Amino acid sequence: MQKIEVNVLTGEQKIVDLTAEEVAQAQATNAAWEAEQAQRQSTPTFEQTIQSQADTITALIARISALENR
Amino acid sequence: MTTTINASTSNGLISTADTSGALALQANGTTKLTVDSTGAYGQVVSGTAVASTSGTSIDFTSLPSWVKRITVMFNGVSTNGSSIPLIQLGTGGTPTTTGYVSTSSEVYSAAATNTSTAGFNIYFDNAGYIFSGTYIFVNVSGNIWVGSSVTSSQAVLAVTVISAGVVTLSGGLNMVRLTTAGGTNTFDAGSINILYEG
Repeated sequence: MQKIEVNVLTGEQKIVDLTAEEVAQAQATNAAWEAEQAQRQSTPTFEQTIQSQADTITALIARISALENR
Repeated sequence: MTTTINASTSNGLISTADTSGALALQANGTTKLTVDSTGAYGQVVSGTAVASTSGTSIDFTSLPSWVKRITVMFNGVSTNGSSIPLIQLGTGGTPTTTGYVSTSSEVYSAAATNTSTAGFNIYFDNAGYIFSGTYIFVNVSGNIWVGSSVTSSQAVLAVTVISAGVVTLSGGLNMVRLTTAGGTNTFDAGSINILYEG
């Protein structure tokens, strides 16, 4: 893996190979990030929770209405 | 009366005067700082644009200690993965990777929000996004920096991303890094540059 470095005073640009330590750090960061994403996807969002509750209420209203029309 | 003090590379110090009522400091014929009745002001300094077509991060280093405002400019930037772009500010040549309170929301036909403590996040989570816009950072006091941004992409789908956050650095800011949340995705399109001013 590489990074680009730009010195704003001199304008010098160079492509630098990451050190083994930096690569290991990046891979650890990526693993943590992917785990966080997996956790986030398995947890319903606030919007999803609200929608689920709204769906339940709608179904209950339909059920009550059906019982009243018997 | 204005005095212009010019540090010429060929003639040494040159002092000239006119009647505009300002003091101008020049380096080799170019005004770097002006002091007049409204205060002191200098030029906005542009960095050098860099092609964001490779690398897992792009660093702008050696920012002067007097910088109080930085504008990071994105021109059609993209990555090869779904890891969200991050901007990290740094001190002593090392990016700060913790302590951010940053939120980024994408707005399209729906909306979604992402938060980050690892950097100022920009919620483009698809390799297909090609985004443009700016992220502006200003120094509140000491080493406290706040930032806000509007960026957009019309690739994949039309999305506007609004972001803002704050971080307190352990020392004076002297670098800006663009990377991704995971740190391993590679930039594969566009260019990036910064403006800085004191």
